[in-house]
Amino acid sequence: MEQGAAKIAKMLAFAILMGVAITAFNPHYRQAFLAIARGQPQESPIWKSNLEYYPDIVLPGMPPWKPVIPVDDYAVQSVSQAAAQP
Amino acid sequence: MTRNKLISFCYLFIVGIGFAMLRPSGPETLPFLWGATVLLGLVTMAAFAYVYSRPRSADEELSAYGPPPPDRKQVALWILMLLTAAVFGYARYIAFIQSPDTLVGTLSVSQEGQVWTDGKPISQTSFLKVKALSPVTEEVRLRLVGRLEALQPVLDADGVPTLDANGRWAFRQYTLPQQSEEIVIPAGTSMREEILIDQPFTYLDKVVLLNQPASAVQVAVMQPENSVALFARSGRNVVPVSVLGHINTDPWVYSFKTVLSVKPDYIQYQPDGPYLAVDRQNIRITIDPATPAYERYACSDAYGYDVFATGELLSAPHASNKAAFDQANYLRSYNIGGQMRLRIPREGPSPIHIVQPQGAEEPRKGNGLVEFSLYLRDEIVRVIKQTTPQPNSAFHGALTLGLRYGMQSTVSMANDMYDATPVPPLIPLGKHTDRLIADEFRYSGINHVLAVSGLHVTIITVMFMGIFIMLKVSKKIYVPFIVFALVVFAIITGARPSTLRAVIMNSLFLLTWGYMGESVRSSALLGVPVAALMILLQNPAMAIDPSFTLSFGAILSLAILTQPFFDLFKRLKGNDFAVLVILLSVLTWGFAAHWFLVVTWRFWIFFTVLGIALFALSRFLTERGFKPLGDYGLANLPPGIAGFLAAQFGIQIGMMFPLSPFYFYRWPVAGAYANIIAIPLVGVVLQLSMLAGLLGIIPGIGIYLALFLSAANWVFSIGFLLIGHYFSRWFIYPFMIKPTTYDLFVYFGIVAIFAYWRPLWFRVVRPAWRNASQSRRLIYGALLALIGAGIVWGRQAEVEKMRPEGKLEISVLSVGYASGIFIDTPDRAAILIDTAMVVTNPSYRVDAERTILPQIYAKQITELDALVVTDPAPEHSAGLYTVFMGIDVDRLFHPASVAPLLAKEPVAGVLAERSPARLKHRLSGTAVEPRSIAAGDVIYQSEYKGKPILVEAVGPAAGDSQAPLSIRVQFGEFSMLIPSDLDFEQQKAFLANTPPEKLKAQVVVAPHHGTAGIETITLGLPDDMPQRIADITGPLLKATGAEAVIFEFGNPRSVEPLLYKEARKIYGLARRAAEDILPGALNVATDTDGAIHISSDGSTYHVYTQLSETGSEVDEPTLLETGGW
Repeated sequence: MEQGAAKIAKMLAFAILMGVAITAFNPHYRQAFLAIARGQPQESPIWKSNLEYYPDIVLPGMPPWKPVIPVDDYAVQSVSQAAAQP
Repeated sequence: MTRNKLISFCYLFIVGIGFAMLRPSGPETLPFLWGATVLLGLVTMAAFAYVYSRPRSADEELSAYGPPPPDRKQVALWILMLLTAAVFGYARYIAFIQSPDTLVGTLSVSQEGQVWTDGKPISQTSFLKVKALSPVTEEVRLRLVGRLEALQPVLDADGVPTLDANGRWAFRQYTLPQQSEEIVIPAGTSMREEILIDQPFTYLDKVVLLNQPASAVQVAVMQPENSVALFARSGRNVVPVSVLGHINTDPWVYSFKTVLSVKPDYIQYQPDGPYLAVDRQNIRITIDPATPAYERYACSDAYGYDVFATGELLSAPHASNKAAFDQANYLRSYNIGGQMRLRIPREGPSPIHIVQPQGAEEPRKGNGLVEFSLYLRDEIVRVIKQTTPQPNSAFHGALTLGLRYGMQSTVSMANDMYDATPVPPLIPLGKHTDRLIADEFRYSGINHVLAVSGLHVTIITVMFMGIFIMLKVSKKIYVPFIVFALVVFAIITGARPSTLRAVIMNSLFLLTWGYMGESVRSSALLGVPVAALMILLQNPAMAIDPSFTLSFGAILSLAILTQPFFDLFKRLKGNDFAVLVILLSVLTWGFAAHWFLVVTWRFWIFFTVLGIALFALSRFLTERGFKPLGDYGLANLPPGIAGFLAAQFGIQIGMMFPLSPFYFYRWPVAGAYANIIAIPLVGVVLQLSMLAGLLGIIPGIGIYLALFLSAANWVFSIGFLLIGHYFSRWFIYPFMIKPTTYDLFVYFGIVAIFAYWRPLWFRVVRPAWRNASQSRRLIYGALLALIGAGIVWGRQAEVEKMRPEGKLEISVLSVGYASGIFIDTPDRAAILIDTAMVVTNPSYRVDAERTILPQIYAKQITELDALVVTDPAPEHSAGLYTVFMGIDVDRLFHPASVAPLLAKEPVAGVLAERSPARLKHRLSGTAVEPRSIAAGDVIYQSEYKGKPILVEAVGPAAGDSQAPLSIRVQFGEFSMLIPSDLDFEQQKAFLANTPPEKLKAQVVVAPHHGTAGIETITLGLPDDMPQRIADITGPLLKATGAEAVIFEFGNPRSVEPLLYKEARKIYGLARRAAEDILPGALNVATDTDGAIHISSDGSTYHVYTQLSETGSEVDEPTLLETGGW
């Protein structure tokens, strides 16, 4: 069990080092880091890529989520196609 | 109780549940069953006390060092205990599935008069049932008289019910006299038949007999349990009910809807009627984003809220096709009695309201521990959203927190849409696909990582143990913390059976390891059955739920089969090991490159011969000292890797290979390979994701640590997603025959012999054989042969049950507004006519994959003798590619109008690949060549006991490149006509050109789904449409002289987006026209009756519908009718 604990510690240290390297060299992670550091995490490209993923979970200080009522595709399609008919 | 007895008790409890599932008894047996359980339990306890209280003899003391001598008292104790467990399991399941009725009283009527015998008083306002306790030979009329304590809620200014300051629903109570309508028990009513009374009662004062029957009769008045299912109805335009209750789980939030589980406290069944208290079951309520205050429901905070909802309470439908998903059974397993889909009115009040207790500023909350767990989950999701980009964030959420709904519409990393996202993929894959990540995981057999189970719980347990050990905390202190963390984890991930199993097992392991010093293996062997018992006690219907059986199957396979496989493979050293690798490589090639070859006998004969030859060669070379690998073998690999490989074999043989086809008709062959990389990798991804999520919550530095960990994890999880992507491309996700329960029994018997061959051989078989006389050996041999013959005979009986010889069986499948007809001929040839539709909006659905192929494989058919595509329209042909990929097709027939479709991708590619010009398919017998046919051409012809079997084309005329293929099926004196999508003009031509004797049929499928004539419409339904149908379709139906007309109908919106309303109207007109033209003919449709099955022996025939089989026809009032109160 002690060996397992040591392995986890090594994995953690390696992951953090690897993460630092990726954050330094990957532009999107770098921008995410800077956005968090500036106190504007909502400007982070990572946060933006997740806007539609569990949209009800927002950042502190952001306005509460409001659902976007979906447009009925069929209705739009049928109206446009009906209009195109002679 | 010793460990072995406890383990056996748990397993026999499950056996009892299994027996109850196979042979359930009625609710009236429940008191007896519970009585038997208690009695047996008491006797068993007394027996235990007796056996273990007396002093142990010297022999028994010595037995601890060897096999115990047979002891009649011990044997009797075992039998008693196991019997108790089995009866307990049986009773628990029967109690779960039956709503026990309470006997209110019994009325005995004879010539001498009537006698009322009191039972239990009515416990709460309820509908009552009258049940005949003896056969009724003469009509009996009676009336119930009593009182009703009607509850009406106290409404607020907006007309919404209110809660008092203590959180109880506020009611006004009115006591009213109540009497039922006249209850008529008709003559001929058999014993135990029930009549449900429409009026609710709180007190029953008397039963008035309205006539005096000449013969004696006995009826009982019963009070049913007020379960949700009692109030749910099936059909369309159901009268809405009102529900007062509370949200009792975390809402399931989708992008387009939210699903709430509501535990109702009261239901108002009849408009303006009284509110009735509800005893059990939940309601699943679906709301869409247009619902007022939607955001308050679509979040974790909604858990615990009291709500008032009004809508149609529907019972879930049973499967409309054989071998299809049965939603009714599924929901019942999860204690859901009905469903509501709330419709938002254009004006008027919202159909759902959150209700706060009087004087409170907020709605009530749910259980504190659950609230805390959900809060923690939302915080971790917030961290994931900040530190991991899509689609990896969806994967991390599903893996770490069980948020599978977030994965539902997440497409593959290879989809082009990610190029335009704020964080494009790290590695551009180049090959666009619309497949979902979840589907890629399913195809590659790594989908199990999304079902939070033992793997996750064990990884988390190990992670926490590692952290505590690093911090030098004593295990006696940290064990309770980890157990608490696991409970929170189970709540966060939805407490599914697989998670509960793992959490119970790991907690037992931790507690026995931490405080009793038990080993891991002994904890596992005890933990599995105890966890199963705990889950099944609460919900015995889970015993056949895939999440339960697959989870327990996996852990048992690991515990029981890993070692035998390791022992087997470690014997293969040097050249033999090389042979094993070669054979596995050949098998892998077969799986990846030519699945249809792997499922043929010719492949397995070749494979066996190859194996024998290679092992012989290996021995020959070894004897001559040629051993390039030396003695290298599995045992030389690091123990972790060797054990892991053996475990993979154990999982595949013990769980995936038999149970995946049993539940899903498919076996993810890629899983055997993908998991070798995926399982170690998921350990890394899960731990990093969990640590990042937890560290990210820490204010200040936490989010930066989370970002670094997630950045590293981003790379690892991309690797995982790539495994899913590539393995799903390299391997197919093949359909397999569904094993029957008998097949599974035999299979697991063989597996058990493999697992325990050593003790069986060394302790039982070999000593018995050596010590046996010649005559006894003969008896043993004969017994063995008898068992073998019994197994073969049982298998034959199973096949005969599935595909009775000498019977023509036709299934017109329920595939919406599309067509799929499966024919199983009397000489067991399989013919499929049409391949149904692919629906892409609002959700993606391939009916060939979901309905047609499972239907075929459920009959254990692996090859289609003929596939016929009658029309190029997508509702007939869209599933063609899927059918080709799913099953071996011998011959393909089509009319001239379908030829252009076959030249288009992806079908053209498959046909080119399966061309007879290719040696690979010629050799394996899997080549196919399309053949264009017209009226007069034969699709299949044979004979069974002198009765001709003929499937032939009766249209279109040769040279017609527009009309669909019309088919006539004949067996002896029975015939069926399948005209396909004939429009009005084509119907006229078909009637004019077809010989009258070829039109004659006992059963006919209505042309064009009953919507012929829609092709003549531009806007709106013409007034003369009924007349047109009568003039054109009428003569055609009349010419057939059919005794049954089948309509293949469903939601036409995906096929007729502009004219779907008109299609529905024409369908209604066509059904009425069919009734007028063929009065007396059976008129059935796949939308209301499910699949239609026709069975004929060549002389007689029988038509039955799928939903009549399962007892849930649409539009049939289920348990209660609306009535006055």
